[in-house]
Amino acid sequence: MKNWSKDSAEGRYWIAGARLVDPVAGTVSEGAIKVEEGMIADIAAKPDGKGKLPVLDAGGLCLAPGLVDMHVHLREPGHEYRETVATGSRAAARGGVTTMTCMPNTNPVIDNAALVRHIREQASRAGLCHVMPIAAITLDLKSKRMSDMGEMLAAGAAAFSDDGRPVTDASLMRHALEMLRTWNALLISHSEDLNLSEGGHMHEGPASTRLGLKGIPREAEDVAVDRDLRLARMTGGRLHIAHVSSGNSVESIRRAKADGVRVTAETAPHYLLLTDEDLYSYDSHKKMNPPLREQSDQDALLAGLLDGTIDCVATDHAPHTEIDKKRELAYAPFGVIGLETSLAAVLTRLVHTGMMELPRAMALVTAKPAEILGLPVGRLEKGCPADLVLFDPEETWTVRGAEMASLSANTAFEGMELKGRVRATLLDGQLVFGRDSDGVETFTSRPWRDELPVI
Amino acid sequence: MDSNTPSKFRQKAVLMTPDQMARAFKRMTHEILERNESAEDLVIMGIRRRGVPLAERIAAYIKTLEGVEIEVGSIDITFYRDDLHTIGPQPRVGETSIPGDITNRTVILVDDVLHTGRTVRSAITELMDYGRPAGIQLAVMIDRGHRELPIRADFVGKNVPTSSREAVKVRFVEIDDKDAVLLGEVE
Amino acid sequence: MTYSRKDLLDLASCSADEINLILDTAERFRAVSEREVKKVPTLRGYTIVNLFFENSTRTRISFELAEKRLSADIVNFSASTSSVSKGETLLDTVENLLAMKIDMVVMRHGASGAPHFLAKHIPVSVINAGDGTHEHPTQGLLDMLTMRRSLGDLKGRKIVIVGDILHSRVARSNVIGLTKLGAEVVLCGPPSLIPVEIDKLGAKVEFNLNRAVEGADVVNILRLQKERQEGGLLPSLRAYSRDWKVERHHLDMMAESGIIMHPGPMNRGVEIAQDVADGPRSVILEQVLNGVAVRMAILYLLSESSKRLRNTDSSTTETPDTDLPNIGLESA
Repeated sequence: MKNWSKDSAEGRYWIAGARLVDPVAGTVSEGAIKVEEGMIADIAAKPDGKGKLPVLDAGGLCLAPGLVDMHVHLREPGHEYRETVATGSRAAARGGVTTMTCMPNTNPVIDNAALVRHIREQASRAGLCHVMPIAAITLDLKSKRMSDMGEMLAAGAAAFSDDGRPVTDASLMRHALEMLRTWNALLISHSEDLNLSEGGHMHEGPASTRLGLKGIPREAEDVAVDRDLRLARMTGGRLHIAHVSSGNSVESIRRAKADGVRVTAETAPHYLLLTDEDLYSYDSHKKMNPPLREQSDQDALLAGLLDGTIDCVATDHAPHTEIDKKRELAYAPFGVIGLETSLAAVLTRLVHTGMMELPRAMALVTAKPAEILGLPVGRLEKGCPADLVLFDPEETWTVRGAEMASLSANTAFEGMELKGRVRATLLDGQLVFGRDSDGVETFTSRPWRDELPVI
Repeated sequence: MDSNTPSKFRQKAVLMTPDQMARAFKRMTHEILERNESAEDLVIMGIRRRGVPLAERIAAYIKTLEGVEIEVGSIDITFYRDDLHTIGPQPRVGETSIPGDITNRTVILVDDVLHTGRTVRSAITELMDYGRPAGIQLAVMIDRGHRELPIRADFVGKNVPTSSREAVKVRFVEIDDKDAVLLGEVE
Repeated sequence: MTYSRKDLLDLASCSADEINLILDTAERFRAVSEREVKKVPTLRGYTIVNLFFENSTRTRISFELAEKRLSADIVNFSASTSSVSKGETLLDTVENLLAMKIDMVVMRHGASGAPHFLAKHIPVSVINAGDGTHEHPTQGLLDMLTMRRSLGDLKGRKIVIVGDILHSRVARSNVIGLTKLGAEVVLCGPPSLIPVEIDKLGAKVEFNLNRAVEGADVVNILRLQKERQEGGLLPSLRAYSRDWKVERHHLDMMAESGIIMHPGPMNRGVEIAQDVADGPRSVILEQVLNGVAVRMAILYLLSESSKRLRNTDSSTTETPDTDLPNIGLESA
């Protein structure tokens, strides 16, 4: 990967000798890509030789669209000791993520246009990943008054969510879904019944009984999902269910989709690789909300991914400091990071097990979330932004929180062996992250001037 | 090699046969009776494990000689060891059984081998926690020397000069299926 | 059979052999408590800290007595008088104590798994004196010792535990320990206070008290926390007592030699009738005596790991005293 940094900075070049993973067409083929002015200008079997452009050798590795992570907590403003837009962007670049949408549960809450602009500007200064904020549905996430969603959309918000908390007032939820129809914008629901989950630390089941920890029953998620599906059906609004963890919820979403409800759903990598039994050691790094559930739930999630009930995989990247996590499980906060492990986790669980073909699995973290968000990324097509990830699907590595680029190290996969590793990340055609064969990693910031999309 | 011998013990010689052992404990019994005017005030306490069969044999022989039933107890010194901090896994604790009150009675403390004297020291300390005996006398089958504490036996079956690398094992039929005193080396 | 663990965190991680070893050892220590001089020099020179983040009188006194009877030096630390209330983390608190050369930590904590967390991060032995609603292993062991002394082998015996199973660490340790010893455990209480899928731990559930105590060898009655009326788990204490208070007529339904147990402190008249608590079948005070013995046994068995720690500190290895008798080091 010599010269990648210099040559990609030229703005016009070919990448040759790659296995091109097209998540939309569902194909993997040997080929080359021509990049011009940050866009994919051509896809061919070989560079055409015109214009004597530099040719970057991909060395037979996989080249796919950069990952789109639609569920990330960047902690800025307010909790910059956990993560910032800049450090989160570094983590994204290292994980092959080129677009992410960040949740508004910051302090202050992203519930106004000024903060939406601020996040976008912070991201453009960091210059490592496209970041679009998800703005709050209700002011200060209080479920009392609706935020000015139209203004925030114009300021560059990607979608709306009170993630971290549910919208507890069903009537307010109804009106938010109705209001968003104006712009055909997306509402992302953190579906949880707070009475049923109150005081819980992990999934309620045989493991919580054995460990003597107060449980969060699946029904805390299920009754809220059912309510939200009803409201989406009623209003015709676009609903996206965040972090689905319960098998029952998968079934509810499946039925709603069959009935024509405009609903999409995501799950997170940790629900696909771990279960509640991983808490037997009282490891606070396995604590998140919704919690790791049982094998039967994991099986239902996998089936949901296979039949399209669950549309995509998002990380719910939730950084917490070591001080916060290194304590009694009951006192530790919910949340795990995920930006730097999502590609490997998806490949390990879905592709290397033979469950899914590579392009289809890649679609779960590229084309699918991009489509839900209505963004022109996540595709390997002429005319799309040259946001690309080069990865070795066969490289095995051991997850170490200490090696993460994220400001926090609270990974649930600590010590696990995953297969598939990012070698380079290109943002608008420019190399932002590279990892050479000796394991030396380089980050190159490419700040841009943020221009608002026309809505 | 019998099953109770740790594998580290390499036998070199037989120091006493069953007959020799019998003659020795009988002589010791006579000495005990000679020294203590009234057998009725005696309590015989065997130190676990191999002091116990010897204590029982002495008591039984006193009965045949004098017709007096002597109370026999056993003492497990585990809680009183001075080397608990240094030896391997915590030893399994045996039972201490003291027959009645020992205050103002004479205790004959019985063990198989007297070596450094630390076991006897532990046993004396433990006995004192059960009461205040009029006196404590010590009977051992083998005295092999190498004392680390100012302790001596009142009644000895046999004195055996040894080197510190050697070990002496006393075997009793009650525990080991045979009577014997063995000399060996430890590694 | 030897006990070679660093900590006693729960009975879930103990084998039946380990449980029996602890109980056998406790029998020896029980004899010490019945002597004139109730003290042995076994843990002379050891310093033990009793860390109590939750109020407890019985368990703390029982541990304190056990430690004193083993000649250990002890430090008592309770959350109300400590810097914990000033926001110090558990690990900070304990590391501060360890800097003063503590050999063992006995901890009572309101959060399930707190001792597991601590044990992972410190090199000295941790003994769980009750963690949240998880386990109370020493209580489980003393209950088993009491049952064994009354009934002999517990295999096939019917042990009924009555009360608030959901919030009871005593119940969990009983269920886990007793099933390992082959007993048949039946849990009885209001459905809202029975944890989900508890049958996976090997216990049966019977909501009806009359049916539960039928032929029981042991009825172990749990304390009902008065707070349970709040939070919608129970309508009232009165409603609880009507259906789950153990009364005199229940005794006639038990096995002939059946015993009544209670970990204390009792709410007389709420979960247990006065004449049951004080009746001839009650072994409640016996439990208290056995508690000291069991805790002495655990401290003794665990002192080995702090021993190992000391030895690695002072690189000198002394050879064992060959004069010492072979006190049952061979496996039993």
